[in-house]
Amino acid sequence: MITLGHFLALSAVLFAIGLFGVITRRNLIAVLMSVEILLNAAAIAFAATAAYKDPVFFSGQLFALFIMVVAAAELSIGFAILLNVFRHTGSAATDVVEEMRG
Amino acid sequence: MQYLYANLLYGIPLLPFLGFLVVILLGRLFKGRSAGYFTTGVMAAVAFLATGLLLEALKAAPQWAMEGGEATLVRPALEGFPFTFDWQWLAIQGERGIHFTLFADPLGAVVLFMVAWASLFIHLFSIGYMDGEERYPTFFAYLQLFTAAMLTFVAAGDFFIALLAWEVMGLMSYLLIGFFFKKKSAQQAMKKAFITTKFADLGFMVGLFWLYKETGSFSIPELGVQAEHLAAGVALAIGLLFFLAAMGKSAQFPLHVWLLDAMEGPTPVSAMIHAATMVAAGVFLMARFYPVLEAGGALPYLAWIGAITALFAAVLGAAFADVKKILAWSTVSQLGYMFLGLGVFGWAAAMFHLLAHAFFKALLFLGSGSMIHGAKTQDIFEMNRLARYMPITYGTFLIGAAALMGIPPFAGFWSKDLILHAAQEHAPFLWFLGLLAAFFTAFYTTRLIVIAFHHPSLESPWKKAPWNQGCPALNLGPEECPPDPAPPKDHHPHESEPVMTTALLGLAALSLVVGFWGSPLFGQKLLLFVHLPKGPEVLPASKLFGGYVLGTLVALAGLLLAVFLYAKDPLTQRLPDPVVAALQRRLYLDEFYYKVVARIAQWPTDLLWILDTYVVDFLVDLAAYATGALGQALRWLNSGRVATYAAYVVLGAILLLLGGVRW
Repeated sequence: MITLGHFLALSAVLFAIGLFGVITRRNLIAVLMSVEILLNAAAIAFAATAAYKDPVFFSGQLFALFIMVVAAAELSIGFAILLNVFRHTGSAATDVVEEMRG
Repeated sequence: MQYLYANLLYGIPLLPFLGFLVVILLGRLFKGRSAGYFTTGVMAAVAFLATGLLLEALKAAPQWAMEGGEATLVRPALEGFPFTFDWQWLAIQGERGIHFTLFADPLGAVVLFMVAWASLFIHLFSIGYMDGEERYPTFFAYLQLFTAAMLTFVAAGDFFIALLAWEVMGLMSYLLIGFFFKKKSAQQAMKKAFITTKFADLGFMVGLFWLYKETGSFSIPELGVQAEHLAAGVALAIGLLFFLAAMGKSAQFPLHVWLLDAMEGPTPVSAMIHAATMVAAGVFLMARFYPVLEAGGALPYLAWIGAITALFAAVLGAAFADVKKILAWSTVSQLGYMFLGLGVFGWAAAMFHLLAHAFFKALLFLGSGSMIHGAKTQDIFEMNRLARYMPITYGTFLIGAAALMGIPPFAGFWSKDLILHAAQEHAPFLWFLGLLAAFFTAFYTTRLIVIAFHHPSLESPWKKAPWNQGCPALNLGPEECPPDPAPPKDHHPHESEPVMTTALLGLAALSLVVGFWGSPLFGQKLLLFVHLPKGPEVLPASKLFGGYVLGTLVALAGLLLAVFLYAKDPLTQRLPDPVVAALQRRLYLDEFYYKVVARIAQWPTDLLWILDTYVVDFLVDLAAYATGALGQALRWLNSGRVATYAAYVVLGAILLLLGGVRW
């Protein structure tokens, strides 16, 4: 039987993968993709928890919907920034942009 | 009884304060002489209010009359007298806080009248005198605030308010003495005045807080009751602390040094400081503080300091050549008389002299301003037969001078004689000093008149004397403080314009009126009005007669000696050089302050400087350096790469989670 624990484990694994991607990938496109994975991991956790723990209102699923919208908005802005970075520096690598260095 | 002006008591200090605000904030809009006319108008309104107040106070005050040589109470005070105004100014709920209290008893009403009128004429005179000066509106704004502070001080019913007004006066005297601040000597003089009076003000503050600790009250009208509960030693100490403050403000020996150099300010300011405000404040404070002084036995100190000051200043007055400085010495000397009067239980006599002196000294100073304006020099030797060219100035100056010398029937004669009479009863030796001072007063005044008004212009011996090079009293050498240039030989003095002569005539009239108000010729009405709570101590004229004769003779002797010495031959030096040098350099007291007292004061200052630089600053710098060094040490954490920051966030989240698990 598939329990809530299985879903949360899947969510955790996805989250870890996404996090690993965000930190290690140098290509901005790959970073954005990793962020998507992070968001989806959270969405899975919300949806599953709602299905198991809140069978009346499913309020967690609402958050999953929100996350999709946020992800769409985030991607559009992310790509806009990415395009500008590319035009500005001729590269889409994260370590080119380091003007915040102390 | 319905009061009108008594209800407007607050308007008396408020109007000049508003005038100050208007002129200082809108200074640029006042073109030409308009600032002078505007502020003079404000003062006219204030003088009107003060006169109304005085007339109502005369009606409402207890009525006394002379019957068989004794003053008897005819009718007690009407309801509502003394007039008061109370405004709860600073208060935290449930606390008494600080009340802005004004009150006008007979003394307050009379002095308000005096300040308002003297200041009005000084404003009027300044319209012409300051014409064409830079910062013309600013000058009038300062005069307004100066007057407002003095009026507040006089009307204050609360020592805390009095202290505020007192300090504002200190500030205004600083600004006005240094009005020509481009002159090095004016800069030194303003600092000297401020530091000297500030030193004395310490006495006011310490005394006031001590008084509050003992009595729990700042109230001035209730001081008489409170004074009875003070232990004698405490009353003496507080009294002497307040006396120190008064010595500074009223230029008593040995804190008189600033007043001479205050002559660096424009002449109307000298009149203001010497007559209407500042120096009168010290005497007035002592008058208000009289119950404590009497209870603590501080009065002999006042009498001694006063008598010494009166004599020593009168002697030095005879050695100077600058008309304003001679008059400054005369102020110091006359203030000494007032302190002497207070010290020998002649409270009312001292107040009478304060009032009379305010008018005739304002007159003399404005007269000297008119002389300087006409003759283009301050040195009496360089003035060219002013009596011929400036008849109104001459005539009014004579009235003022007669009042100063104590020639009957002018104002100073009646008041000075009352003081001397009180001294004769309580301290014969001080009475002798006072008489001697009166002799010198007549002497230097006559010398001034003879040389400035009757002699043709001469070469000033003052400027030639080797000991007068530079300004030793201001610690300035000959290069920094060159002598004023002499006027051209063919310069012909001219009478001053009508606004200035009107002021002179007005003050001459007032000084006559005030003199008669207190004189036995007209029943000593002033003394029946202004007196201590226990009642007036009015002496019948028959008792005073001997003193009158003696006073007149002494004044005439001084007058005749001066005429004899200076009428023919004003230039001959009759005393040996060292004596003249010592007199003209003010007995070297100023130099002593600069060379010895200032040096001694430098030691603790240096110590504090070391403490500040090497301890306090070190700690402050250490905090800054430590923060900076820590920042440098952690710089490498900021790689500038987004991925690193993301890793920090994750690390932080993990740490938080671990923490959460532990809890």
